[in-house]
Amino acid sequence: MSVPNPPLDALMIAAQSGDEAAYRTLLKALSSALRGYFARRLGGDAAVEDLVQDTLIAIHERRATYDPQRPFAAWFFAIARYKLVDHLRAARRSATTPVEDIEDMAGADEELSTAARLDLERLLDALPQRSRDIVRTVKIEGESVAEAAQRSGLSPIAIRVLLHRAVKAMSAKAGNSRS
Amino acid sequence: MREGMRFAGQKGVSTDALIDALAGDLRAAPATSVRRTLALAFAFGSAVSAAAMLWLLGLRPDMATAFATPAFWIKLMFPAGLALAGLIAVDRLGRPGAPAALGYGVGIGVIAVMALLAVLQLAMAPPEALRPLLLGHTIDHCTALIMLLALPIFTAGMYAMRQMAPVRLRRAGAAVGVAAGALSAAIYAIACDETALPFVTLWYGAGILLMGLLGALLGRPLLRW
Repeated sequence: MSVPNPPLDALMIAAQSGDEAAYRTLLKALSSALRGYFARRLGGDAAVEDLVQDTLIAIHERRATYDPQRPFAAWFFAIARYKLVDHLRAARRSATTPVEDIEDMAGADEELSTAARLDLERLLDALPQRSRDIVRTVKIEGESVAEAAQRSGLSPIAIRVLLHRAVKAMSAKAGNSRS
Repeated sequence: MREGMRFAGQKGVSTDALIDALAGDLRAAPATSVRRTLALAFAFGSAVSAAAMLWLLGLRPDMATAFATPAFWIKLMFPAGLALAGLIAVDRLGRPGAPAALGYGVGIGVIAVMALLAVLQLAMAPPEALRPLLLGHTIDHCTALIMLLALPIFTAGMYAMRQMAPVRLRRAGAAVGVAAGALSAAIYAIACDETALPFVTLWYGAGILLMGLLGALLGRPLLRW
């Protein structure tokens, strides 16, 4: 690959065969493409960066579904569009929260700390066991990612990805019932 | 609303850190691995379904002679062709941005040829033969058994589709349903001694179509990622 700026297709094919440097270059390029794509469609919404990260994780986990015979851009933008539509659908759902929930929330303000603790427990309970343990030790008890990795036998990367997802799942749930 | 929940004062993972993490996690993931997952899932489901067919129904009583008749093979070609169409569509719909037109085309072609043959058979038959040609003698359980035998294939197929990246969830679910229904119908054809093409088109077709509908209904809830 002597071309200074290899096309994305070539980077993706290299990444599929395990070339980490090509993959890093690709993800950097994709993240700025995604940021532009989502920002144009959502405006200054704070969800843009979350969506960028979500889409990068999706691309990472589904990278084997890219068929090297086909144009990479079609694969990539189909995923970006899917993640955008999925986000808009979820946002619309949580925007129509029933009135009782809002009243619940207003009433709960007095016992904030108890309520917050209960909420946290409830949100944690909804997570799979492994993610729950990681959120508990890293986010609440303040253990480092490296320590958590050593103790659980997972790679630090796996811990970071699990954490990212767990926090997102919890935020989405919290957004759904309390917005 | 979303950024309101950060725990213990820590910020979420930054995008650069995430890219580092993902790049560090890279292992080779060749495109063929996906096709292998699909093939294994449908093969495993079909094996379970075939075992269930042998246990529940056994082979058709006239198996030895039936093998030699063209009717047996024409009857088998219908579900086999639809299974091929369904599997092509499954492979394409599981890959973002890949056109599935080939799968749809094969499916429509198979149905058109089969419908034409069925109509010809009806047109050439004497009036008193129409009823048995259309209704056969197993109409009370044919479609239901095809759907029942499709369930293991459908389950394995949906599992495999969840490993892929479908962006049109209803269509992807429908393709899994059609592929499962058609494979199941091909397996059932070995136990069933109906030979009338109008019967096969209608009632095998109904089982396959209903599995497609089931897949379309379950596509959104089961395949979201």
